[in-house]
Amino acid sequence: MLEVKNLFALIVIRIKNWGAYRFDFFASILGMVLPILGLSLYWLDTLKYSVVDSFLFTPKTIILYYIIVYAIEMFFSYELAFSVEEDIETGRMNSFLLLPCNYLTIKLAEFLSTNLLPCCILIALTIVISLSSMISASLIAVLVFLSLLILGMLFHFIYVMILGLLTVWFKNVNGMLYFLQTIAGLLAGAIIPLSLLPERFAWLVWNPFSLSIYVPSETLLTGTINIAAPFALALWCFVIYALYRITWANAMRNYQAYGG
Amino acid sequence: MRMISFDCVDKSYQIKETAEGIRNAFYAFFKPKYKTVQAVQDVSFKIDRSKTLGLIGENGAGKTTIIKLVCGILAPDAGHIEVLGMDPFQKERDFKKRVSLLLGNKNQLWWDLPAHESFLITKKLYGLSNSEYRASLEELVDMLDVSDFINSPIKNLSLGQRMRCELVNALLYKPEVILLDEPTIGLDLKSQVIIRNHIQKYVKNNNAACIVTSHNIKDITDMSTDVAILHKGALIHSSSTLDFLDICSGYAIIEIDGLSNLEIYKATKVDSYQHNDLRRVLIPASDALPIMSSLVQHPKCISVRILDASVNDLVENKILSIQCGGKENARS
Repeated sequence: MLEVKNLFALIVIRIKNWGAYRFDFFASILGMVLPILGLSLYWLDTLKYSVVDSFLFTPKTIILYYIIVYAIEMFFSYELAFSVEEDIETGRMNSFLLLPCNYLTIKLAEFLSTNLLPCCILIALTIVISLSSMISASLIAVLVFLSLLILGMLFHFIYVMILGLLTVWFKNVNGMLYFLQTIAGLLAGAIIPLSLLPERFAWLVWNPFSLSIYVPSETLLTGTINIAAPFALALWCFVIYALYRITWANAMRNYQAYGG
Repeated sequence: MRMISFDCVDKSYQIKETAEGIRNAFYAFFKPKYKTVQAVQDVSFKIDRSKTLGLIGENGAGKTTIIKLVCGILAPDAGHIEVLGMDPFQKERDFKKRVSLLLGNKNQLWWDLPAHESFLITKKLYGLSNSEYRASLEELVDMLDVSDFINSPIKNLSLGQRMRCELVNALLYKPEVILLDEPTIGLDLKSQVIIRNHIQKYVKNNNAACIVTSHNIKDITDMSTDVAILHKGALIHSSSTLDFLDICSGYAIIEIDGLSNLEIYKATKVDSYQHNDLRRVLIPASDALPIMSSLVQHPKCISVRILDASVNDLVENKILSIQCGGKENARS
């Protein structure tokens, strides 16, 4: 309970801090809206030439697919890993370690506050898509979609925390982060929808990145309910949290913090 | 009551080393070499309530590492540390609520927001009631004279103003152990005096324990009840501040221009050492005048002057470690 109170207090101060830069605030909104707009226009134009005939999705849903995937992907930035890296490299970690709350809580506040705007956009998008005649998703499908989204965010948050903590051993993890970001994009179906892959790769759907991005998008668009998916993702969350605890304990043992 | 106990503690760092040149950079990429730096070696000390320990030493002597070990940021390689009856490295919530760390060269407040926002988050994180917070804040704001700029963003404050706000934030929740790493670095004299006076009062009024590191000897002599000198990670001197001042005032430096070591030795029977382009002798203060008069009579002597002996002079000439028995003295 105390940790939740701390989390709330930290989110509030982060939002206040964010509001200190008005230009950046509006630029970040544009940065989120423009790619979605661009993607939509691109696909509408492409569809005129019937390039997507072979896709499993209909021409209408493929546009929605990328819009939703992009909206979900906004939560899955690696910015937090860079922030953890910076905490370790600059010694800012020292002050955080002495605060009477977990480092995980401090970073969760950062993660949630920076994701507040994408979250609002995604909720608005979900409502519009659900209420419109664009898709035939049932209420249960929307609920499964939201549960996958929340679990996916949790998984991704802990995953990037681990990546950031690797700085303790590797000093600089930028290159590795860019590489893993690409791999995760492939596994998540953000680049190519996983349903387009050959049958022998069907098991890829059960990887945590796919369960966080591809599966919820498919659920919302096609109304197909994979009831095992939220449980599988919850299991991945437990696994990644256990891994985080081990990484954290070892990172603290190896944290050097040299220099004045 | 014992607040901090530091017993035979060792701490070393592994630092990557690369020789210059592209070939060495290439080799280091595949087979990096690491150097072990012994940051703290076999250091022991104890601090009771209402006491302040001043840590003195050159850059890299291990002062900040000791601060980081005391607050649990780092784990010792060997030895035992106990703070408020707890192992600091376990970082229990109760421990963290009773300890405060102030780093003079690092900003811990929210950079883009006014100071009062940082104070408010401290209030929430440390679970202070409204009345506790108001009382503590009013007292600190008044004593540290920060009311004029408490509503301005931290990034717009001068270093002295920022440091005073940092101190308000660090003391808001009435910590029992305060760790100050160069708290007056870069500050003007007025801010230095305000900070020193307040720390002294805080430690006394709240029965707290404090460790302060500084290169400014006034910080140490004004704030500390005890002094410890570190040299290359080892504790070479430990005494009360009064004893330390006695030792320092008992010695003087004579700086001589125009004479060689041999000529100085013949005149004073004391070995001299080079300091910049001049030679210096460290002597008991009571001998300063007769030695000076014998030096000025030397035909080759261009100039002579008497200076106060600095801590560095005393350490370099092994006066402090010899007189106080180094580690043995520190442990007793």
